[in-house]
Amino acid sequence: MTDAELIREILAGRKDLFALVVERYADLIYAAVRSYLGGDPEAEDAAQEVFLKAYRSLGQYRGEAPLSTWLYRIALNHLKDRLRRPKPKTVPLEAMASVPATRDPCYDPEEEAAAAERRLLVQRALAELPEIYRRVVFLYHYHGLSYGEIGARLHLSARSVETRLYRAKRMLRARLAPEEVPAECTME
Amino acid sequence: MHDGVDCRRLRARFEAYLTLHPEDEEAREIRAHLAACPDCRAELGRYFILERWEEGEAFSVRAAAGLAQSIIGSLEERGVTPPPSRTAKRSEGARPGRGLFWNYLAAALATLLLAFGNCFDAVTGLAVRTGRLQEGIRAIDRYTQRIIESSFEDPGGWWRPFESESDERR
Repeated sequence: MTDAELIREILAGRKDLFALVVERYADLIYAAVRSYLGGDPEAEDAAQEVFLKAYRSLGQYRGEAPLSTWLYRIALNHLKDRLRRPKPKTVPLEAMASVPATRDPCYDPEEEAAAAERRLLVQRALAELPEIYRRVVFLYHYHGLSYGEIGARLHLSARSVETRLYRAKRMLRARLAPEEVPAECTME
Repeated sequence: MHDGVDCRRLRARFEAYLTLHPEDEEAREIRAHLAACPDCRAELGRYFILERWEEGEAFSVRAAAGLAQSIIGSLEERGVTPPPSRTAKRSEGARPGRGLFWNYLAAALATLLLAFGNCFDAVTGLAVRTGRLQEGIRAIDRYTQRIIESSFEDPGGWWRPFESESDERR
């Protein structure tokens, strides 16, 4: 059963079929939330919340992007809200027991949190890129392939790969650029 | 440290690496380091979870086997239902071709209305313009008549000098 058929059936009332969606994409969503939320119970809880959110808004899925991308975006949005939520000041005893005796002197939790938030922003910007650009960015940066090698994989000319990479970077820059401050706000 | 490069400093520049021009010197430096440092490459991989998953990479951390069942359980427990699909709502109970007939009828009516509106506007516009012209001519006529009448009534009217001049000549 394809994703589109699956969703149609679920919306028609076959709630139990949502288990198939979870089974198909659980690893992806779990890996996404786990990369931000350390502990297992917390990541599992977040993954569950992501799927519940997806289920509630299943009627809004228009099939323009693959279901995996749609769910992944929901996960990243959920993480954004979760990272901004103030953390409880009390630490459970079990967590204290797992803290190593020696700590990294360079470790700064605030700096770490800001870096995580920034990474999430970049990840969201990447996930919003159209498929044809996202793939080129991934192959070039993560796999370190040349334009020619990417072209051979995607059946494109090296020149097209270069153009797509250039456009993708421009889109990313536009999405990641900090909001411009109006001139009157900066004037004394 | 790896190959004399500070990995921590380099990882902080990943965002720039993704957005810089490929020929930029810093981008080249990071690319060269990534090719030699598996730890930094793994760190960069955190940006590409979706793409790695699409490629079929098996992640070292996997969701618990019972996740699907626990989610279905909590859906039933909370009584959560998804909102109906927009497309499903549109097609629900609709006979094939019926919607199309109403669409065509509405389009035909709209075209007729538009055409009628344009003709009506043209006719009324012409009438209005003609009416205004006639009114204007009448106003000029009245104004000229009033000037002539008032001039004859006024003893020091504009014709006096000419009249006296002609009298003197006589």
